[in-house]
Amino acid sequence: MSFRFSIVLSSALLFFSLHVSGRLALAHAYPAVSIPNNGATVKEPPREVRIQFTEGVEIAFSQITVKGATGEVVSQGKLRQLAEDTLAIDLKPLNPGNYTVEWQVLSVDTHVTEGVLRFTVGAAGK
Amino acid sequence: MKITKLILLIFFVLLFFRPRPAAAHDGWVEITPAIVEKGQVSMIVLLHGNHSNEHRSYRIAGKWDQKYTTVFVFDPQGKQNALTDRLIDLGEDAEKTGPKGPKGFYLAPFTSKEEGLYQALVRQVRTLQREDGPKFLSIRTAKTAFAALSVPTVAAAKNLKGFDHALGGEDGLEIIPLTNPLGIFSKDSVTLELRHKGKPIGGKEISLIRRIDSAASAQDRATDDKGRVTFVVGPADSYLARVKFDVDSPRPDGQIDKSSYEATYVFQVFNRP
Repeated sequence: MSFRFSIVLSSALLFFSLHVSGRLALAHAYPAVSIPNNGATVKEPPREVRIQFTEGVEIAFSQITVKGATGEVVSQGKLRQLAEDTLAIDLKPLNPGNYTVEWQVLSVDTHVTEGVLRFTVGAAGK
Repeated sequence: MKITKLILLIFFVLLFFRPRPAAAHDGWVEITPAIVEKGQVSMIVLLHGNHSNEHRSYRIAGKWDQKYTTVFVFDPQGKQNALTDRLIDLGEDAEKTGPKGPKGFYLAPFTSKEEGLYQALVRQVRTLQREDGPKFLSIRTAKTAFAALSVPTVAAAKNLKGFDHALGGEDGLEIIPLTNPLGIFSKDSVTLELRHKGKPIGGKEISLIRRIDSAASAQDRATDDKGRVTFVVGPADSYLARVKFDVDSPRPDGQIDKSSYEATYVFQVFNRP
């Protein structure tokens, strides 16, 4: 490793760390990916619902509640934070049917967002 | 090789401890036109956008949350006119948008009945608490002013009084213009006062952003011990002042309550007659 290469490497990394990464946009948090996916029909009942948001979220001020077709709560236990932007909640054993996932989160920029996702177990939704 | 490892170590340390933007989006209120003939309609528009992140622009991002928003217009006598129930949603439907959420704005028409200075106040208040967990409180206050005059000119609006009254209540954050916001010309000085829970607050950074130049025009000034800050404005355009900060309040049980305060103020800068 030449001294010149080290200088170039350090300059490039310093530029990235101070300039590019420091200008990352913060915005509201909305679901980027969810498991089960929004609107999906799954054959096997999921054991948890997992949502990755577009921004980091604060678990202390966030919640996910999963309900069945008649409004009964089928999520259980404590909300878990798998990554800065990813939350998960465990589910009771699910029967075939339609389910809604009500989510509400506080993003790291202190804005509250909320919404509803839906999924179906088995063929009940067809 | 040792040098490379050292460089990489420094890089990751810098990456981890890098300065992060203090905030992102915020909401503001605009009224067009800012000076109208008495009896004519003014359009009060609630917008939400990018002032405080790296864009520092008026680009629309997100929407006000109508369920938690109240809109008032104070007439020249100080009487409140509630417009909350008259808001028209001209933005995207939350149920039909992608992962970035709905964008758009709300609009409320208002017809002035008498001559004088009118001030619009928009507040969005949200609280969150799960069982006996920590509490979260968010208060956003957006303000602007407009004038209704028999002869709607800038020269007449410049003589109006009453723009420096607090309107936002005793619980939030509020920007109060000490300079008549309807009589500001290019290159003028504009003094604003920041009040938190009804009292002036110093040491908070207020940003002033011009609509057309956006980031290139942004000025940041910290309030003095009287909560005041003075800017020199540029060319004629719409200007927005904004400030945001969070307060953490530890509880005896070890949990930390969080409060978030935002305030914006929009005013027009005119060409000299």
